[in-house]
Amino acid sequence: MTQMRAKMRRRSSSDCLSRLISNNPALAMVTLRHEQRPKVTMAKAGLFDISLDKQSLLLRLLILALICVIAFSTRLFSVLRYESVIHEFDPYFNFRSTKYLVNEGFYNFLNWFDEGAWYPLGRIVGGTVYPGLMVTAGAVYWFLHALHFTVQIRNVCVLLAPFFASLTAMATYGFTKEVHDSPSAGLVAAAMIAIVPGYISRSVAGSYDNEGIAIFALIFTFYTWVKSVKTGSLFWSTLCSLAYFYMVAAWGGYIFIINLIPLHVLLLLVTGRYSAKVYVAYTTLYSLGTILAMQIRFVNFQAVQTSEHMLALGTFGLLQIYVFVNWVRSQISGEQFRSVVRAAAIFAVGILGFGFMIGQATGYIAPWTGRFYAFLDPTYAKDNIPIIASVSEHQPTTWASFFFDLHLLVFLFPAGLYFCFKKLTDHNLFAVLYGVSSVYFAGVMVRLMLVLAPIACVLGAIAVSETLKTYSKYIRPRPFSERSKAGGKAEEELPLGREIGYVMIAGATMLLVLYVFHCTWVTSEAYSSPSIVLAAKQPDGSRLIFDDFREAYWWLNMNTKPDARVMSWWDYGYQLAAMANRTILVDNNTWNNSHIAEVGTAFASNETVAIDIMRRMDVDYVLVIFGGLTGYASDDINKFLWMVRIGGSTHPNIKEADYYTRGEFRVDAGGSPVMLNTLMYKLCYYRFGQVYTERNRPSGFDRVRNVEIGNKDFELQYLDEAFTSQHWIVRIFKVKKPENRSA
Amino acid sequence: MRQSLLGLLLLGSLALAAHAALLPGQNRVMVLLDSVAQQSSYSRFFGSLRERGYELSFFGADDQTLTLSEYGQYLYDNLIILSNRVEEFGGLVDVASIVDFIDSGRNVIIAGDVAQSSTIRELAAEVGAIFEDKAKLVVDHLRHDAADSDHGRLIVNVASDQKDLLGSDKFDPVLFRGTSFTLKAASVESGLLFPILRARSSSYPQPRAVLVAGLQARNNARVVISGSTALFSDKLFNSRVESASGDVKADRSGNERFVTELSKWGLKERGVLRASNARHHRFSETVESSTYRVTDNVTFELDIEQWDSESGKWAPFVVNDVQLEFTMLDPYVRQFLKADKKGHYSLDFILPDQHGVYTFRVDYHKFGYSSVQIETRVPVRPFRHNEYERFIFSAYPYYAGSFSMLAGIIIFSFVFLYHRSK
Repeated sequence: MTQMRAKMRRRSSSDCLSRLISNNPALAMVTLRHEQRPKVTMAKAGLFDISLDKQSLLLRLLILALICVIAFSTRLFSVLRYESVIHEFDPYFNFRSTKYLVNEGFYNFLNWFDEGAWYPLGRIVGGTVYPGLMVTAGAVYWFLHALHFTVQIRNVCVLLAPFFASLTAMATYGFTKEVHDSPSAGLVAAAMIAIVPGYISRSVAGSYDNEGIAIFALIFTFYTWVKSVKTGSLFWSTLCSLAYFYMVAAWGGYIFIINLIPLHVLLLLVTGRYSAKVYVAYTTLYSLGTILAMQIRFVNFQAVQTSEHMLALGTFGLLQIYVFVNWVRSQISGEQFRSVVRAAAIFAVGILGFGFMIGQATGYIAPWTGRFYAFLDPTYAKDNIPIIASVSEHQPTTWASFFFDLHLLVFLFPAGLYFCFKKLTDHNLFAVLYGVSSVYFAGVMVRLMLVLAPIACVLGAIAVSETLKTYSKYIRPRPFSERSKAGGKAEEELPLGREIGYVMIAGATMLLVLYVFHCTWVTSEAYSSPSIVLAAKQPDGSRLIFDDFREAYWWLNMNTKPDARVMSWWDYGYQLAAMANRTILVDNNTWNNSHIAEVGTAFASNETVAIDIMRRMDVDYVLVIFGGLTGYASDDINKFLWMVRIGGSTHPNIKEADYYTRGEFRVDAGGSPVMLNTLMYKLCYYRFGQVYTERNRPSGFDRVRNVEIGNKDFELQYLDEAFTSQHWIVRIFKVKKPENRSA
Repeated sequence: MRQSLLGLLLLGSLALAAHAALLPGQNRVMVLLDSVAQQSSYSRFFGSLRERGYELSFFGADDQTLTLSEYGQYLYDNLIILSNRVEEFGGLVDVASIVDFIDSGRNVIIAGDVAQSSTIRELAAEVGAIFEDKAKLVVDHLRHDAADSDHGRLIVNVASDQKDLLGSDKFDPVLFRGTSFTLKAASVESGLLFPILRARSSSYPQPRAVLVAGLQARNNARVVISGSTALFSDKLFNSRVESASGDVKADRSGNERFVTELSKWGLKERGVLRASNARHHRFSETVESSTYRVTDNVTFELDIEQWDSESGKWAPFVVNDVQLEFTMLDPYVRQFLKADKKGHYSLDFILPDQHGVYTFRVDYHKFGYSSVQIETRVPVRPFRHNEYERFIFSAYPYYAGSFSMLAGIIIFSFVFLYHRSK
């Protein structure tokens, strides 16, 4: 297992291939602008003598505008360095469906049956996606075209996430302002979220994924929720349900909202903070929001049937009962009331429990899905569902990645919680709840760091802003009137108060500057590689570009029949469909475990077994990713054990132990004979035994596993090599037809 | 002048058509013999071929000018190898080029014999017939012709199960003198390779040894392998049959008819099927649709014809055992196609209520006939959002419920807002 690394669906920080130049002219330009602008306005303020209130409003708007610019431009590293391309895996599907939406119209998109995916099952795309992202991009595209800006849909898609990052910064400003009742904390929060790596990881230009717009929807929903709890107005809670609807349309993470908000309501109820405002806000949100959520085909009746939504329903019912009980209490005497309550409580619990049992037994209330179990028990997926465990972004988070993605905020987060508790209100209770629960979730799965990042910014901003507020009092020269009024009364001056103030503020500023540097460095080094084009630094310092993926996909596109079926591991399904435009067997929408297991079995079996599977599936080409020549670590051999595990989950004759030699996964001469004869091994290492990869090493030396491969001299019986890309990263094989003259 | 020339041409072509009972582009035959002079000993066999319209070109098997193709075009449609001594083919012909010849859909008749060369053995092995290294004479001590003293001239009856292949099951006893071979098990299992003539159970060294076999490749190329060159010879054609034990007697051996019928199959005069016009459409339409919806009513149609060498025309092929499969991983529909008298097959059926990419598949293999394989893929999509029923009868109570609720709320709001209690 030493060489095995978890599969990397997302780029992870450890990926060593792209060491990039951090000095970026664009960034320098942005910082320059940042310094220039305020000076100009200050001068203006002096010139026209605007009132203090208006000055502060102007300044605030200006800062927000700058934050928008920063949020947008810091995400452009990849575009400047490579080109305007879609990144990674899932975004390719989103891009392809957006193109379909733009070309065919909304209704055809809604009814799109994609016969090119999951051959021969096909996929009803319209009913299995969250369409929010595509519709948003389509709307932007149509809007711009209506104004006669003839942009390409690709560029809209590439730049959508940075654009929404700016909107997220605005929403965060609003949210923090409402939670903490101070605009300055809001500004700090907006500035922080604009550059926080945990969020940038999913929203750089080209990362065209649901999360890119969903975080905006999430924060905006929370903003409107806090606003409606504060005001108790129907208007805000309706707006909240609309924001919730957008979130449902955008991302499956809406489950988080529909559980967090009821939790907030429950907490308010328990702590005796219930008010009619909460009732108005929640009942409106729940009823409107649920009806709206059901309009999304993918969600449909799940919104009232699955266990994930039951907390919201329960809270809704409880709220009605609570209000009813209060009303009854006001109508009758205490003695009567007690007996009524007792009878009612027993009755209600009985009915509820019975109903739930019936629902579960008849399957009307769907059981919890595996991913949900994985939330509650981090080890669940590892033991039970290899397909979930196989994805690197579903792994538990390490401490290092907390610091890597949040930096300063790791320390400011508890401080922010402290300041919230210090002055607890209905709405900052929500921030506390959000913070605590998302810390837990972020610990369970790496990718939920994304949900933690905004609240970490909010709480961190509260901490920073409170600290700065406290100490800036000491260094600010007091206005004369105040000084004379206060005199030596309440606010005793600390000894050396001014100096301490300076030190504290300087320290805080330094930390913030470090934060900025860290964020920029992380963005530039770790999160701005498109992963479809790889880069490596050569000994002489120049950059070497590996464009093998696109080369191979393009080859498929130009050289194979339009209806050719390509078998590959599911990671490359979306890219194949989008770039090569060929029919694929499995893709990143891992909805059918047994179909994936079939492909895994084919790769994990020897050629004779595999050919039967491939013929049954009408496979024409097989595509594998191989890093042995270049040292590209996330290749198919490193993912191979997952194919074995997933294949073994439905085919009992595939046993993981057969692929090990004394508990070790090896491809050198010590590898198990089963391993050295699998289809995957043979396809990856076909003709590799004749290649010298490193000086002073024997031929067939694998640079990822750092071993000389064990089975060098073999021929393929049922496949022909069709194409191998320049650096051997992508290899394509053609499945032979049955022999003309013999079996 | 011109008209008369045209008339002449027409007449000429008519005269040709009178005996041109062969498939178009099937008449050029290359015959390889140990020496060209040998052709006289097979004159009856070659005579019958010529009569049927073949153009025969004779070559010595080691002729240095031999070539099957020129500039990528094959010069012959069929190849008959009656030379078992040749150690190395001459010119550009070798085992690989003959294998390519077969893989291009052309036909070959190969005859090995007792003292055959390794080249012939190698070629036979390519089509799945395994000759022994030093092939022995097959003998039958119980049933052999009296004319031979070494018990090697066997008297063999043609089995009745070869009727579809040979066109008849009544043959006079066939005389056979040569060796036998075995068939590759995998090829036999896959149905490509099959014995045509077997010795009796008393034959030696193997009982029921395979004497003649046929191969129909996946591309319908046909290969006949015989363990004897003598089988085709005038000598055995003309012999009378009299078994040593005296229980079988005939004035003439069945060889001539057997070999003629065998060559008719082997050179694609008999049992050649042609499928055309495979198409599918909705019941009500006639135009082929590129995609269907679940539960659509669909018709699949197909014409199958058979080459009739008597009349030199494609004639309808009418049977009731052609199946259609409608498959997505597993067959969802598997039914017999109904044929009318013109060889027009069709089937109406309702598509399964399961979306996916399906294959219409006709995979017809019948002994003695060329196979018919048709695969067409169509996507079957689910209902569109506006193809569902708008109002369902059984849901009327719910409609009533929601509309009365709406009305109730409006009335209640009016009462609540505008009624003032005193």
